[in-house]
Amino acid sequence: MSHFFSEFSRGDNGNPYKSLRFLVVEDQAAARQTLRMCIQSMGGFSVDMAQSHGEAMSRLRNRMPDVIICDYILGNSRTGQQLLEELRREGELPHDVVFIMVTAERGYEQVISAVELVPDDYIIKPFAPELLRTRLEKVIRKKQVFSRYYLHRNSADWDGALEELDRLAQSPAAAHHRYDVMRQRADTLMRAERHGDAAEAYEAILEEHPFPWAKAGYARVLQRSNRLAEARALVDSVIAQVPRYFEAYDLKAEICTEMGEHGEAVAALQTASALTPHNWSRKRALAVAASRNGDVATVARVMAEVMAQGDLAGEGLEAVVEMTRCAVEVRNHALAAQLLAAIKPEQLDKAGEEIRLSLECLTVLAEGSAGGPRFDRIRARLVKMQLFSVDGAIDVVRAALLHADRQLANMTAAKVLAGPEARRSFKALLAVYCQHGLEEGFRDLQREVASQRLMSRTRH
Amino acid sequence: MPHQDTPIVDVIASGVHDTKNVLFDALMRIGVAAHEVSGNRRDEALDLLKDAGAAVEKATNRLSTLLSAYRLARHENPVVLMPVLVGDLVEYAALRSPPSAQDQSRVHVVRSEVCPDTWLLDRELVADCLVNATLNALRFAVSRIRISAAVENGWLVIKVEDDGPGFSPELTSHPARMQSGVGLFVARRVAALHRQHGRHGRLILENGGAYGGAVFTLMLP
Ligand SMILES: Nc1ncnc2c1ncn2[C@@H]1O[C@H](COP(=O)(O)OP(=O)(O)OP(=O)(O)O)[C@@H](O)[C@H]1O
Ligand SMILES: [Mg+2]
Repeated sequence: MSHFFSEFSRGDNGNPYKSLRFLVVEDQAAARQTLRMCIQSMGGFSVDMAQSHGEAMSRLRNRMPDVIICDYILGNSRTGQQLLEELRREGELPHDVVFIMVTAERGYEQVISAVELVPDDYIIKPFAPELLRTRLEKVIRKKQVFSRYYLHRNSADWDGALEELDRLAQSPAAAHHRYDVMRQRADTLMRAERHGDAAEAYEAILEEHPFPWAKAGYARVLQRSNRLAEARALVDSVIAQVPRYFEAYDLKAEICTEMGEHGEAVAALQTASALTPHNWSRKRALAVAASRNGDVATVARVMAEVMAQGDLAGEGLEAVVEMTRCAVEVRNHALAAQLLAAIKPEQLDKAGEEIRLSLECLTVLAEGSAGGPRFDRIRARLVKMQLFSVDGAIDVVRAALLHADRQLANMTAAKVLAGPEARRSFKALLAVYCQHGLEEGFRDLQREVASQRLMSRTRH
Repeated sequence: MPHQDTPIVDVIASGVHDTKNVLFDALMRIGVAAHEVSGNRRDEALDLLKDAGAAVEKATNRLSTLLSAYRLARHENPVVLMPVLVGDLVEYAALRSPPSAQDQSRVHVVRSEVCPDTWLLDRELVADCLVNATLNALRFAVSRIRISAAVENGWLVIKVEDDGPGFSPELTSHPARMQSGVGLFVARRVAALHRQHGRHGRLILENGGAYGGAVFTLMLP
């Protein structure tokens, strides 16, 4: 889409909007027409339209436009914000595509101050075509200013991205994007895992103004630096300041989970989930948190809601694995079996070995004592498997201990305990060993891993 | 909040009433325009439609101010500070308060040099206040209006000045107890709700200034 920028820069050779492809997302037919007319009267030519979240998704996947003009309210309890978040999170929205939110809500600033992912700009309805034109032009100029930064960032070249931000911080052309530069810098430092620098960057922003997003960002840095109590206090203050900052509840739940306060995690997700009843990934997180909290009734209720929504398959295999794990956790083996049975072969074909093995282990667990032969069949693959996520490893340990294979269980647990996620996995692993009356065995294993780590350190 | 002479609900009601009249006026013009078109008098029809459009624009602005007044009256704090380029803000307000054809032939609007600073403010609410101040000035000015924005001593100072008769003495001497309309009510509250580092914004109504008429000044920390 770089043609679109260069074309735009060439400026007054006629009409720079003519070459842009627009997509209007709006559920009301009349408003859709008005927006189209508005775009055409400012010189736009190619205007595609979508009337729902789903239609927008399929059009975008089919062909990415240059400019998305999206209404905030999309019907079916969907919002333009959800569309934006989904696109950004899945990496489906290239950074040079303009996303402008259109809204009749007077209180939209409050919405936008309480989200992590913001549109490039927003316009309050009703508005004149001229306003859309000036806003669009400014967004495009800004994207030009930040284009090199995004290039580095998208290839995870944090040093390059930070260098570019430092350059922008000095450049007069970016002077009026000062806050954007600061925000991006803090975020990039966090991604680069330079937690100390990221904390300082957020502190500097907060000295200027207590932006909720900066508080939330700072809380995340504190969480990653294992300063959990501080992180939690800060995220609580964000929620007090902006009760509709839903991502802050998600963050709080993560922090509480790490602190082992599963009840608090459940409470936070429950509050946010009640306010965002159509956010299925948050519901799944709630089910997971409740299952960690041993709250069987909540898991069952939330899972029923998630399942009633129908097609879990559309949410990807990870979601199915997550939910099956919950079902196993609360010993609802029938539900687990039902979830597993609904997986389509073509989904499995695309899945990686790790996820497939997780599914096998979960099947073993759902089958109970009848799962022995299956376990024997996959054992060799489990032994060979190198990279286990914490959750995946726990699936294996569970299945192994169920079939009294302590050797495989210990081997798998040791891998995780020696890895970077040791802290997060410790409690969960301990719980599984305890379920089988093997607490002592787990403690021995833990000591062994610790002494090995020590040895390898002295050797280097 | 100091005591108000007129309860805010009454002020809002009168604003709604005025807006209704503005819309009625627009409707009349559209009706006459249709008649002119059928009589093949296109130019007359176009003028009427332009005025009707301006009237609807005005009504829209007024309604959004009324909604803000309503939220303020309920003691909600609708102000959200975000970084805004001051020049963009002034341009935005100007786009939303275009002078009518009649105004244009009478009044000359001067804008000060574009302010290059970025300020933390509520873009929509401050724009509403500026739009109202501009429309007021257009109503009262004899021939000149000046709109300016600049950073002075750590404050953002936005002024709308005209060469009309100026604010009445009640407005300039007892600003907090004034018989203001919705527009000035909202401007005062919105300014006060802009808080930064222990300071809060204010609205100043004076006479004199560059052109000797009314001077509307928003000062934001
Ligand atoms: N530039 C000005 N010159 C002289 N008087 C003014 C000026 N601006 C406002 N006023 C006086 O202040 C009053 C209140 O203004 P305000 O904007 O609050 O309400 P309004 O203009 O009467 O109604 P609305 O803004 O709702 O259309 C006006 O009615 C007018 O008497
Ligand atoms: Mg007024």
